[in-house]
Amino acid sequence: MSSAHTAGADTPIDPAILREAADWLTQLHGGEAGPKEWEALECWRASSPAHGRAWTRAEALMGDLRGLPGGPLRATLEKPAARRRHLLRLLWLPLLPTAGWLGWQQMRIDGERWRSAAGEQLPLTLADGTRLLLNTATEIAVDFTAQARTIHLLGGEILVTSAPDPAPLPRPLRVLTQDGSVRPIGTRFSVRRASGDADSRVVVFEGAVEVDARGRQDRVKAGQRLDFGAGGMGQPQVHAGLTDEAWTQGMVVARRMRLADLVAELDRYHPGFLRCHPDVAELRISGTFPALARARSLQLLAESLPVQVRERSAYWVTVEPIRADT
Amino acid sequence: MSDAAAALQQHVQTLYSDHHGWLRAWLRRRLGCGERAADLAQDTFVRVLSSRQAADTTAWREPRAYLTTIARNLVADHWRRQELERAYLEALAAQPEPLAPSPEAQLLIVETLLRIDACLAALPALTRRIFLSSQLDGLVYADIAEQMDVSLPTVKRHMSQAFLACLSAA
Repeated sequence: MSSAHTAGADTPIDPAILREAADWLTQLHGGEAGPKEWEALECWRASSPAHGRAWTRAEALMGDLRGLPGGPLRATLEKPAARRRHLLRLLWLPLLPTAGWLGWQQMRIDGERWRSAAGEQLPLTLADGTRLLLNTATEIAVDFTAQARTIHLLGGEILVTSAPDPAPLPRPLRVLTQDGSVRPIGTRFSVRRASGDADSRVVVFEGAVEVDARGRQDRVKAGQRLDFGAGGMGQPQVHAGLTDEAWTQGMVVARRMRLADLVAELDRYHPGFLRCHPDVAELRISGTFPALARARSLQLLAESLPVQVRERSAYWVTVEPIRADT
Repeated sequence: MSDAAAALQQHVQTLYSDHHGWLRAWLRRRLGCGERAADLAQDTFVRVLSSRQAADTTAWREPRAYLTTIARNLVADHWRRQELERAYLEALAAQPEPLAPSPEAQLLIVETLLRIDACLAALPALTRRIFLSSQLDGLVYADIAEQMDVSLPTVKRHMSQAFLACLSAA
């Protein structure tokens, strides 16, 4: 069938007419359009069926755009997205994943991407036998060349159990964050740089690592941890044992922790938003929370403190004081 | 169905039985979730079937490379969708009068966002910035011109380019 009657919404519209429609849209959104402009548009729209169809499409677009909230959404849409491969360009699909959080988006980072969703952990074994565990909401790029084995931590937290390089000429292994590099010496350690963190933290469980950040080097040994970032590099400190390692078992351990801090920690494992009401932020809490089992963690919270967990939606949960009327 | 279409479908069926298993495992490793991996494996073959390039069977000489390229893109889309969804919810939470749209409404909005995102992705950074200032921040062109230190006609040119990209993709 090819009669004019079936020329519906799916029929291609002449690009020149779409350009005119785009110009109309531009005029109407400038903040200066008045009745005169709308009248002129109405004439244009009515002058041919093709114009009419183009304008129907334009109205649908205006409807889509209207009422979109700004702020974080705008930032995400604005983030320069790497161009995807064009194998299937006719499908109009978007983007490679953007290069992690914070300032790193600008950098071109090579290597294979791996990513874990919020509330999930992802174990990996790399080509050289190095084992990784990606904690919740983590993104890495693995870049192995003839000279070096590099793991970029783009955001989140990883546990590394390093293996000797099987290559004839052993290549150094290193973990890079936006703050600096961590080079292991036969070891098991974790590196964290989550989206809300101000700097990077390395915790060493076995062996030792060399940290290189902003022109300073330091060695961190088993049982120690070190923070490094924009504010410089701290001193290696005795790490908190179980508390620092618990995440590798899917746990968050709190020892007289501020409730707000614990909620922020659990929020990392939450696909949506977990927020703490200011009125209960300073309460102290101790306990072990199964971070990967969200419902159970929240239930434990509510049992330990005079708070209630309010689910506005599955994505949006707040921890609030218990109200007198509930 | 034409002979060519029948042959293509036959081809895809063979491809499916030979490669569905490892593709699903491959996706599972990447996504850490079996259910989602199964969905995306399915989508990968749907893409093959609906892709015009599939008829060009040179791509099939290396079926693994071909399928992983498609699957990789689908994984990328999957993460981008989550990113947009999260940003949208965050934006909602930041509003003075928090609203919680129904799950159905949220789904629609996220679909819309993905579409807009796809259109904007192909545009230069400045065009994208100008367009978002106008459409999401609600600035008038004169303010945008001042903020970005460009002329008013330049702002209009970029706006028109962005609108055209969105209209052409619809």
